[in-house]
Amino acid sequence: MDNTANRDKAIDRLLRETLPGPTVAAAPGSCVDAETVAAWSDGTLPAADAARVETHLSACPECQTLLAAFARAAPAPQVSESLWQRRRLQWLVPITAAATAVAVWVAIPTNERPGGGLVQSDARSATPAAASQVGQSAPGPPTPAPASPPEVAGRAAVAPAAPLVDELPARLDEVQNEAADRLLPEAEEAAAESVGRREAASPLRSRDAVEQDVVARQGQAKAEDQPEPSAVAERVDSLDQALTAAPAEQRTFALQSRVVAPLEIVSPDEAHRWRILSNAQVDHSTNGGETWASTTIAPAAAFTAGSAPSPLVCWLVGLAGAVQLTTDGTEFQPVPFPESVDLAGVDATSANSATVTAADGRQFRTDDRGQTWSLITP
Amino acid sequence: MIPAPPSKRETDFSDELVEWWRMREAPLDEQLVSRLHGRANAARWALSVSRFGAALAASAARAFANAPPRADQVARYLETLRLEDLALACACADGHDAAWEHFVREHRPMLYRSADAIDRTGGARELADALYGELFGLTERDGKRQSLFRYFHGRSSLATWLRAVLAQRYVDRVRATRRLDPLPDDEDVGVAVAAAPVHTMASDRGRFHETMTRAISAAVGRLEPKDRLRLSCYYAQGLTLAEIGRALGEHEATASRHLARTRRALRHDVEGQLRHEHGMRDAAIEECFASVVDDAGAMDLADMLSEGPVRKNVTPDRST
Repeated sequence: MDNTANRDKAIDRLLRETLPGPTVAAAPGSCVDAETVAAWSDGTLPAADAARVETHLSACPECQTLLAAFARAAPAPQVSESLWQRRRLQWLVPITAAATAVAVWVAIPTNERPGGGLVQSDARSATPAAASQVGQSAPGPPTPAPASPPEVAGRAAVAPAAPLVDELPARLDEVQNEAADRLLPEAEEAAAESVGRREAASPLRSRDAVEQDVVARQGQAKAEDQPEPSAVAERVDSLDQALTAAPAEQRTFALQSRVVAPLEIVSPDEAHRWRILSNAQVDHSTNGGETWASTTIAPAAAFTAGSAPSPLVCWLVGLAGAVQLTTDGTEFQPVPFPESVDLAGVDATSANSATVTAADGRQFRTDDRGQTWSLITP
Repeated sequence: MIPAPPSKRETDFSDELVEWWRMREAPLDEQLVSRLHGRANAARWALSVSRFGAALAASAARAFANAPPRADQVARYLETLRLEDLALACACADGHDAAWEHFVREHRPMLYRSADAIDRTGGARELADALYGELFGLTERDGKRQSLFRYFHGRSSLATWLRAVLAQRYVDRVRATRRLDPLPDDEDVGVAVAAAPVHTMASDRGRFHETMTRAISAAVGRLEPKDRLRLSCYYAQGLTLAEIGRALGEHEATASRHLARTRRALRHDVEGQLRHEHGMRDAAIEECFASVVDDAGAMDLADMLSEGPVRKNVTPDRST
């Protein structure tokens, strides 16, 4: 057995043997009650109090038992973690894949573009270290030969939208950053899902075997916060397959929708528009996207859609019932929403009225800026 | 049997009034209370500003129980509360029909889902029923209904609080049940005692194993609290990576990475102890680690004999 693996296994066994007992002589502070555990879990305790709670929890087996029951009591998320797996958003897969392919195709000089340039370039944009391993570490079926389909896809898409092509090189960094923002968390989720799938497929495996797998897989990741290369490769595979399968008309539309990005919300006069850069940052433009001014959104949320019924009014919706509204174009305010359900779409007609579509297909409507919501499609 | 939503009636707020009295040294600013009342959308439940102010005062009094706060500290604290949930809890405690309808529609299903998640055999359902009854206020004091909602102070979301209270009830019940469990037969104890000291049979291996146990304990004691907590959740409580992630507010992949990093750190720490504190060379260190890997006795026996309430539910798949 490999020396390091042997020692890791020994550490694992020792931990299982020793940790059921107290880890320090006496847990500092008094035991925590249910309300404090709830506040700590929600992250609403002041930093000093949270640290005290953590210190106590880490050393008190009794409170750990409460925490364990509390953790088990959390129902599993009802909605799949992967945005792309949601039925209502599945149409975005080929479109986004094609758009990414076009952007990469246009941006990479012809003499530097290998046959498989699309896949490798995309992976590079996600994480350099992981991309360097994609070729040798991706498990499962080999990546489909990407030589001609991406080229066909890219050229078919570019032709009808030639005036837009000039904008694309300038937007390369933006596209790559957005791709990285999307791929990193998704790759991380994919890594966890991959672990779950493999272990669920063999429930009779010993715990040691499972642990060794986890340790080995973790060891593959070079840096602390990088996704596993296999997960990146799987993501790239799916993008590549989606691209190949996308009909020509969708690829054409993809380019147009890339230029007006999926999370870029354009108001009716087109000069006023918003684009979502991160969970807490939205840019606002008053000149059709020539210049942008950043604004911060609190609380941060993963926004999935927006709607701007007038030049200064914009509604944003996102995961876990996140709804934000601006009526002056710049300052977003949270709008109360009755459920912590993931929201996939919004159609607003004014600052007061909007119809929100949840990921499970239900639609809610408000006519008083979210003070009350009515379920219009159960 | 689920009780019907209560009708409007007088509820005992004496606890909050006592807290309000305690808060007089730093009375709440009326404008602040009014603004928070608006933010909480408390008018939706016909909750008066003064009633909501009393709930805010009770919350602040509990948060600053150890030292009288300054007005700005109280204001900052109140701004962080889950005001809408606090207003809903107050209205439910008051017996507001619409508030109860909202609670029953939005929170009661979650309560039962949590009960099913905590005990998949359905054993926690009756706890959820009992908890629901207490929220309604089945018990009375001086002829007035006592709702459990009065212990919700808005420091977390109502859903999280309900889940934590349910977990507390579950743990209390398990502990009470264990106290009533009969002790193992003398015969079983004899087997355990005879089988436990495996290490004494091979003195070197046993000594190495003890050295390793002391080294790992020392290394764990030096960890950051959060790392130690993560390890305990995994090894002592048998939580899955997903459950650890939910408990600690991180993704399960992140929890997995942190666990792996912590194990590596522990290995380095143990190696360092063996080398520097015990003066061991590479061969001896290797023997120490091998003594743990080769010795299946103590660990497996501990697993077999350990009948902790939570560990019973441990499933082989720990990644979901």
